[in-house]
Amino acid sequence: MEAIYGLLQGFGVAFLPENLLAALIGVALGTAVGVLPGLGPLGGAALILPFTYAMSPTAAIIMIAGIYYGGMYGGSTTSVLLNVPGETASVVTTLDGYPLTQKGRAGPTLFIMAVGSAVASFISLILVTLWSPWLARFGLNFGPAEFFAVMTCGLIVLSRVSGGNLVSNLFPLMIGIAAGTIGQEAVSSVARFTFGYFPLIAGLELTPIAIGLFGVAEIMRLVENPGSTPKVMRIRVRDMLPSREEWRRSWGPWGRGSLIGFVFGLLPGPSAALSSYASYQLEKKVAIGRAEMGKGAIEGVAGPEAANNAAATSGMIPVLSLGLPFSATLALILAALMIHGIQPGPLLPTQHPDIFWGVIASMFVGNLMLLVLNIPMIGIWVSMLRVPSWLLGAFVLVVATVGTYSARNNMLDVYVLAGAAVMGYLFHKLGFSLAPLILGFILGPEIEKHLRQGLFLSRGDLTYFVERPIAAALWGITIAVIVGVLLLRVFRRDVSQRLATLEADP
Amino acid sequence: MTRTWRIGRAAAGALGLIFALLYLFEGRNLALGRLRAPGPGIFPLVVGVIFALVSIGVIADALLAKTAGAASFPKGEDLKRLLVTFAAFFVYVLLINVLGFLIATLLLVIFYTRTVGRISWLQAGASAIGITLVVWAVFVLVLGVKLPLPIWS
Repeated sequence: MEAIYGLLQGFGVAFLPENLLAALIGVALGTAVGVLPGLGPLGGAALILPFTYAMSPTAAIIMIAGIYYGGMYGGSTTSVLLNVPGETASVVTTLDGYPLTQKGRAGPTLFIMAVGSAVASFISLILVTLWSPWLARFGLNFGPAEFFAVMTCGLIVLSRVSGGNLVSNLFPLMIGIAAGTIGQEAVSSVARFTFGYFPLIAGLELTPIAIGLFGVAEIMRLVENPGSTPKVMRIRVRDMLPSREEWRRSWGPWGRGSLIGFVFGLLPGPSAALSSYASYQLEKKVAIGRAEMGKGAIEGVAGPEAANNAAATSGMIPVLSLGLPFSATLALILAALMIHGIQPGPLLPTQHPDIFWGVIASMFVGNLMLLVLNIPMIGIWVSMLRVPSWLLGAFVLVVATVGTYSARNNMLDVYVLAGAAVMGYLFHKLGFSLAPLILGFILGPEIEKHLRQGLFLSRGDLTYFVERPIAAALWGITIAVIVGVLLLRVFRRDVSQRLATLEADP
Repeated sequence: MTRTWRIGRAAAGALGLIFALLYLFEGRNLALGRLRAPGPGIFPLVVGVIFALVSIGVIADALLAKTAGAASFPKGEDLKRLLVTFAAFFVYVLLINVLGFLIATLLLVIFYTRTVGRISWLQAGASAIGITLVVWAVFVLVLGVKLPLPIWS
């Protein structure tokens, strides 16, 4: 009951003009960055971060979340039309999406994808709505020990299940955590690691690091290999209607994909990419058209697309109710909350119900907007594929620099941007994951805070961190996951390699 | 390819190790406190030690891993274009508060679009004016941000 009351209140917030506009801009930009070559949802969300400083916290979160789930729509459009996935969650979509285009069914495929994404988001949102009061109440039992456990275990599990080997995740993670300790520390205001350089006292800012690692570095990869502007077909709206057969075959994959995605979104790891992969594997076994999978079966698009959108939706739950992001884009959402002075965590739904329910309700609204943007207006996004990469690159470089500068009117941030860009480029080339760096940078100070509070509370007794039931369970699960992954590696060597091909969450 | 991967990752690990040791050295004077009253130095100490160990792990993994990954850096023309663009971006970042936003941005966009796009001077100039105006309008008119001015103004 309280969930329905909360959601109604949330719709009241989501329909405020400022928030409606934020959702529209968010999902439109999300679709655009999903479609555009060389700029993913993460780079887009990082670039928009400085703009959100001036907004209300609710509008800021609504906009960044819009980019996140909007990017899932846009990224798949290029998978289907050009065999080029716009982001990692759409890699699987190319397997059947592009063959469908070659068969001349591009329009209906895009239609099935858009409707399926919306259906999946709605299913996931309904589950989220029903679950969240329970989760929030569960979170109220959290003390320093539980927070320390949930954040530390989250990072450990993430390093273990993300693509690449363990050190490829731990190395950037430690860089991020170390970078997060620079500046005045929160408890006693002691300045740390400033090397006597005054501007460092305020600490490093997230914006230049995120924009450099993901925005500028991606543009540099585009410079290295500019390619040619692709030739894309025209898609007319009236050619988009799927046949009765295609409708009939899509319902099952949508439902199964939604549930898979919902569960994956709640777990640490590159959930959108992993859930689309899991859904594809499942459809290969149970779909009506399983014989055609890989050669252009609509189920191979409907299932994974539903899964990655459901995962993008339920991924908001750990962020909003525990303050725990499981991917870099979600970490940016968390950062936007903190920039506005709002402490994310289990108290958020009770202390700031307008933000919590407003963001959830805005995702219903945003998905409806995406349906309109992606079906009647698909032509606009397809024509956006013709934007030459030299123009896009120049624009992104300028916006990255000016946006970074505008956050604090500070040249230090701009120099950090340039450094982060080089690092992002090199690390990507050498196979290090970049998402853990952002997560470490944001969660590091939180972990330190809970560690020190816990030590104060327990008078220095370290067993405090493992003896409380929830914390003990979390540590137990973490150890089980680590051992499980190890055993899995021994018995089925190919699993880790297959996971590696999915790569870390971009 | 795998050679680049091994050398590159080992170098990254070595740099990480140097940073971790510098980090521990710089943090040596921070008060550790006691377990019941932890000081500002305790977390950095733990972080620094793990950072150093992970860096050693990166080096070991790079040199000893049986199945090395592949890293392919661009060559020839592509490499030249990449380096020139990176350099142009650095010059832009360094000069933006010397030349001011307007001049620096016009120069960067003309240079970038000419290098990456192989387009005419006219097109490059038009894109430069267009991008500079759009970004200026959004940041200055809409958001009210003060952009860097030339030092002589």
